[in-house]
Amino acid sequence: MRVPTRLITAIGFTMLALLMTAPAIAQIEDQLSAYTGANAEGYLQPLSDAFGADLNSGWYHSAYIPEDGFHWSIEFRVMGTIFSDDAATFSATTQSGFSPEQTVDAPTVVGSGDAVTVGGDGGTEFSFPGGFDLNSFAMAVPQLKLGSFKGTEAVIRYFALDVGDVEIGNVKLLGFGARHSISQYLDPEFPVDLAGGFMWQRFTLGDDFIEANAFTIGVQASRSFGWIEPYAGLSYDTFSMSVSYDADESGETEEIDLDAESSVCLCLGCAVGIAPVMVNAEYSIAAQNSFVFGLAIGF
Amino acid sequence: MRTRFLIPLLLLLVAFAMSGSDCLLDEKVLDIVYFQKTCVGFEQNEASAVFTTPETVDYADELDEILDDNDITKSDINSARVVSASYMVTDFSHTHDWEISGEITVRRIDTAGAAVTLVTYTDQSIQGALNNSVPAVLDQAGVELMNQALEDYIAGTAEPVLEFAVQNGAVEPNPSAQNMLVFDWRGCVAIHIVAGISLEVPDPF
Repeated sequence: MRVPTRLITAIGFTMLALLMTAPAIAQIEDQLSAYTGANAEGYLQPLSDAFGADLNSGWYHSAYIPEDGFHWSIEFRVMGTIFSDDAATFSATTQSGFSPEQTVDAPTVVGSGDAVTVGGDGGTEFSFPGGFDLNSFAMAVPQLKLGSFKGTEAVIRYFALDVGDVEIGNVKLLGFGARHSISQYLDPEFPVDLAGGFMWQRFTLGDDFIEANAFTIGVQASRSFGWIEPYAGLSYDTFSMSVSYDADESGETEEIDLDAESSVCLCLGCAVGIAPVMVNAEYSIAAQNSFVFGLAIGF
Repeated sequence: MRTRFLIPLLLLLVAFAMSGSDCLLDEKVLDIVYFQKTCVGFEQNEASAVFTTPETVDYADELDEILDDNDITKSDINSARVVSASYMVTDFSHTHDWEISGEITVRRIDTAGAAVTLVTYTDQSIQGALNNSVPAVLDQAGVELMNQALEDYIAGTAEPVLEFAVQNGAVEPNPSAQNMLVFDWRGCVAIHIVAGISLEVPDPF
């Protein structure tokens, strides 16, 4: 009876987090409509970096994978990123035929909410929109872990949500991955458990507003000390995001591809608990640092 | 020992989840910039180099529409300013090109104000501007008049109606009844409206 209560709470938390994110993302489309080309890319880049870092983290909390036998785990991950001061502004250039052309530091999507305005010929003015004044970006995802077959387990992330009331349509995340035990080939006395694996994910928002793809491949190590299990991982992560929106100036649909980010990530974490409940926390050091809090229920 | 450790941990997690939006949502005020272009079409059918073509725009109506489309009110607006202007020839089929010089003036009809220069064009090739948006040289007097119209609208002290007029002064070669200057063109003025909106966004850490 206690497990379902925790499960419902965790599901509720996950859905709440997703629903709260949706209106903010819808507002991003309005902010973006003032921009085209390089300005739009610069404005969105910090969010793209954070999103990529979050998606590519939190998909494991141990390197131990049983060789055989049916094991399952329903897991909830809250992945977060703290933005640095550097992410608050980008080098933006006036557009819309404004004269003379000027380049200034303007707020990114996570920067100050205040618009930046510059003066031009004949008393004209050009304004760069404000950001959302964010310290952090976080997302919550549910995932299912299934195993084991010859020391191999599958990880599936999925959610789909219709948030039509904020005019952006559906939010969908689909991801799958697999991990394989390396420890089964090593001496049983080897001091840590080792595993290797990969995970691929695709996130879409609206019909074509945002499409993001994330991929990570790497190795993990952990050691159990009863109810506490420190772990570490080293991975190669890639992430790309494309955004399609209606630009005010041209009245046409603009499509931008944000820089594909690839980086090596060192992840350090610790899982605590006893079956069937485990909680974990981890910190990832990469091009964009991130952290994870997780809850896992399973056997 | 294990139970003593796990129960507070789970309670903390559940408390975090149950605290809901108060914990995760943060109210932010951000400036959003709306871009709006007002365009006026002029049809020229001239036998003389000196001609005047006025067109009237209910500017308040256009601004009302922007607010409606974006679900904002006048009280949300922090500022509205002219950004740029441009013109483009939309129809021209002569066998030879013309070059025109003159200005486009603007005046407030709602306040019965005087016309002032907004745009000056010099030796502008009509063929060269066919389907080609040409950035206009803006005159400070015209920009100030339009900015004042925008301020009056935001303050609710006026419903601006503007008259834009082509005041052409010279044409090369000179048109005549036998060689009429015939073309359509369009002038556009772009503005930025900066509005402050309040939004609750997730910013949990």
